[in-house]
Amino acid sequence: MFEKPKTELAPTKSHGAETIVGTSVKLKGNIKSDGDIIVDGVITGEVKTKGSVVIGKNANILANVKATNVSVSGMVQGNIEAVERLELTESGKVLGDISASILSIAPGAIFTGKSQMAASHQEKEIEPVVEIEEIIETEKKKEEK
Amino acid sequence: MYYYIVNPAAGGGKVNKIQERLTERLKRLGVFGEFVKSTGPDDVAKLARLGISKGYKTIVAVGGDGTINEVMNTLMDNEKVALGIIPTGTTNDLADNLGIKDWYSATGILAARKIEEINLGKVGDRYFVTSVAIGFEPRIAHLRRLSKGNLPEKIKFSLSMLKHASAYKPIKAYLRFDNSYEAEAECFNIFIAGESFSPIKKKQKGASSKQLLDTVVITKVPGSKALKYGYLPKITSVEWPKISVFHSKRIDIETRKPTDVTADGQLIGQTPIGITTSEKTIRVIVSKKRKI
Repeated sequence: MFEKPKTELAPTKSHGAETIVGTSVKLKGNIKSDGDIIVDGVITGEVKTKGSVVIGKNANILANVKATNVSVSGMVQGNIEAVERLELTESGKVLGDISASILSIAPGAIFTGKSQMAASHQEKEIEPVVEIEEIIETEKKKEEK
Repeated sequence: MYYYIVNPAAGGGKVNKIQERLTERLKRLGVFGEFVKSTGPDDVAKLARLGISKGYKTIVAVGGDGTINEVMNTLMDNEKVALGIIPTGTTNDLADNLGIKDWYSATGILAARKIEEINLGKVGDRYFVTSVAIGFEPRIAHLRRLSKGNLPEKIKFSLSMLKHASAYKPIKAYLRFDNSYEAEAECFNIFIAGESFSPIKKKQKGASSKQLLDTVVITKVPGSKALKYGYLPKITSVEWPKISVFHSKRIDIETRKPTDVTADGQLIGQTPIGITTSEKTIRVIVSKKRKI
């Protein structure tokens, strides 16, 4: 039957424990972690992790976010850098520049800023085209002979 | 030889009721030794130091969490002396976590003498084994023993928990983690523990937080959850949407008004206070069925 659309990020292979900033918690400063970070409160500063960052509906972030995977359902005023996947759900709002290898923006999401796809992903898409061209050329040479 | 420090006031004088049976069993198991009784709050530490100076290799705390914490703060980093525990206190959380259920099983555990080195945390100028709590937890510490009692005691505990939880006003707290970031929240309870005693379920086995302290901040607890909270279950963000969890080596906590702080279930001071990981360890005789 039909597959349910993905609404949550698959957990990253992180080596640290989960950090949770719950609703009604105001956090100021730089969070650096090896594990996943879940945010439902307010953060002012910087968020950096080797794991995933999940920004909930009630979250309000005034910070730059850097992580392997990022999912945004709340408000982010700052730049987001996702090494792998960035997902804006229908309630997500981002005022800032974003970069990711895989980008997913749901209908209803708000995004104001520049977007950039990571170079590694672009290269992967180009590679097969070159291979096809090479194959065509070698086939032509064979026909000419 | 074993050196027994008895707190006769612990658990409402419980040790006085079991003294004869206790000494008889210790003799039978071949772990009888010298018995000394504490007479005041600072007496336990003095007696522990005396036991060490006499050359005893095992100092046994006969009492509750408070007695054990006093002995532990005297024995830490002593590579030659081990701490034994016979729980007879009002709260015996530490013994419980080490798999020591009651005084009877404690005697068998002493005889088996399985020793483990346990890391300690530091709160203010004292050391702790299990956890530090600020907020609601210190308020209900005296009720905990009822939760492990018979059915009428459990019912009494449940009703008291609900009453206390509904009447409790959250405290405004400022938490600073590793001098890196600060959190501000209205807190129902703040609970700090090393990984071994953390109430948080780890998503992955081997999550590398061994050298860190888990800080669990609960901002609100609905009435329906208050009872569950009383039994201090393993908690997750799904079950407890109002929790926050942080991991750090140091936490400094301030509150608007000075608030009670407990360590290992004992009142040790008030906020503001700093809690850190430490390099200190203690050798403890534990059960094979220990929880850590």
